[in-house]
Amino acid sequence: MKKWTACALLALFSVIFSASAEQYNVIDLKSIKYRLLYESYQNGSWDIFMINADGSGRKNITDTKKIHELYPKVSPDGKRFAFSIDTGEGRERRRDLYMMNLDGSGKKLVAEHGREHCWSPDGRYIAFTKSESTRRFSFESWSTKGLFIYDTTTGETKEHVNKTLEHMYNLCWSPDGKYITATVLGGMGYRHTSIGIDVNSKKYVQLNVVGCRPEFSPDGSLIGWGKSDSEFDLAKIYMDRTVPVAEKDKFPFLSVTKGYEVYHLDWSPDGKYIAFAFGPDGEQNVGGTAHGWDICIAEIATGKWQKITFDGNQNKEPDWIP
Amino acid sequence: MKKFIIAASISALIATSISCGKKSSDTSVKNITTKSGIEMVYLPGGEFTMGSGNAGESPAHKVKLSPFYIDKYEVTQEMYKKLELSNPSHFKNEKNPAEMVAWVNAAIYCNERSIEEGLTPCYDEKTWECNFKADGYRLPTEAEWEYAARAGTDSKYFFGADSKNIKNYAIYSKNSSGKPETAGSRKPNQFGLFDMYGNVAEWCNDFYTADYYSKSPEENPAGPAEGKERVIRGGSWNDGEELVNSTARSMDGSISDACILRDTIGFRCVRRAE
Repeated sequence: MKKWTACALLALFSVIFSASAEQYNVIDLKSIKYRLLYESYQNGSWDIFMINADGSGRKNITDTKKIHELYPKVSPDGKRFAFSIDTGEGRERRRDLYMMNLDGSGKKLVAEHGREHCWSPDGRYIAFTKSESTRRFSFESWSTKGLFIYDTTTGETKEHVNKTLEHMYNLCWSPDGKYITATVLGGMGYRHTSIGIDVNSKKYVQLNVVGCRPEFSPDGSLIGWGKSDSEFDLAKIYMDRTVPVAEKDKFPFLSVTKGYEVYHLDWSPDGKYIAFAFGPDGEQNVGGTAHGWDICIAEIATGKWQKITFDGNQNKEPDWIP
Repeated sequence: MKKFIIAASISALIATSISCGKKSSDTSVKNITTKSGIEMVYLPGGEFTMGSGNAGESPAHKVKLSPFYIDKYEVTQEMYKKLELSNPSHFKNEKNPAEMVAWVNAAIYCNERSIEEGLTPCYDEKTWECNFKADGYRLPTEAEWEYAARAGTDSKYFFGADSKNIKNYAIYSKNSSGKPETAGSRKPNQFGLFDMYGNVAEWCNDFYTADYYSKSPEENPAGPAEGKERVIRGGSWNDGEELVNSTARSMDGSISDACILRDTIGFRCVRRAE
């Protein structure tokens, strides 16, 4: 894996990849062995769909009419996924955290008001935040309070030792298990930044990336994030350094034409591809309105990318199944 | 004594130059406290000249407004906390105005405050259209904001022509410490409204177009029917004289996108009075 990552980095040094228009049949999608989950709005509610990387075999795995299933995050062993369930509408809506098996069985409540979750690399724990206000629902990703760790073995939840954590979203656990990254908006003295939190102490550090939603590559050597609404950047990351991401190690990876957006980057288990959501100006928040958005896959080595869904049914938050 | 004469003159000015109230008691500026304990000022309806001859603020044009109530202070973080809403502010301090507020979140605050006081919310939270007939809280129209800021004056600043006096009435780039300060920590305007200039720039309800003044209706103008940006007014702790005044128009696109929120933008609420 590390050898492959080094090759990719060399390529990144030599070429600035960009994509200003939709491209078709530019990647050999059939050679990708993984499937993905994603959220999609169809027939009046959000559901979670499974799809092959080449866009075939799409299946609705939640298929409920009156409740919304969103933000799927697959366990490292590929057997289960954690996800949000929204019930009610408008200000009375509420969001809770559940997990279930990929075949749709074994649904279990993880945490009331839990959201923005991620799995530990060993698959035992689920980290999550909670809705900041239970008085009225907020779609805002940053409207959260605290960091909590759920033990899937015992069913117990513990709050992180740092009780000052707030307004964090898009949690991502580092592959070495030591850190959880998140974007913070209007919290902990920050305007808008991304941080890495030590899982076992009160320490946290700014990553030095402008933008939001950082995600580790599978080997933890790289990080990808949304530099803006329309750009993804990648960088080498060293979590043990005071400044984990150095300016010299940042690379532009993908950009799209003004008026379109890219969000929700997720690395494939082999580190060769990135899945993401793409579409015209819309709401990137979980459950936010994003008409015309589709799931896409980009090849790291070449920067080429293409859609794998075409219905534009607000398809967002792709997550690879290992 | 001098202070008294000035105050009396202002009251006389307000009472005589602002009219159109149907009842005699409606013709004067009054302080009120809402059910949830928030201080507001009743402003009688009236006519004024909106805009100026300056680029971006022209043409100056006559506007006639119905009476309305307006918050005495910018909405503070403490007011957010009372409604148990998420406070997005960068500079946390309960006495400071809320900032980093997306336009839709300002509208949500208005709706929540309406519900808290048993009033009908003005905003449809699916379309964000404002129902001006509802009795709840909403953001001021650009015309209402300028009318409130001018406080019966026809000059660029409500305190007169000398921009050196801004420091007494506003927290702005030349006297701020690089952040907002306690709401109401400078002098109010003649209507008793604090921080109409500076501290945080204030969202208005209107969409922004540069040429709106040339085609806006005379009575209760409510902005263009559609747009991508909303109007902000009054300038902030980070702005200079060019924005910290009664007439300068500005706009922002952080309607709902958290990625582009600014720690210079907040708001205050209004409510119809008829």
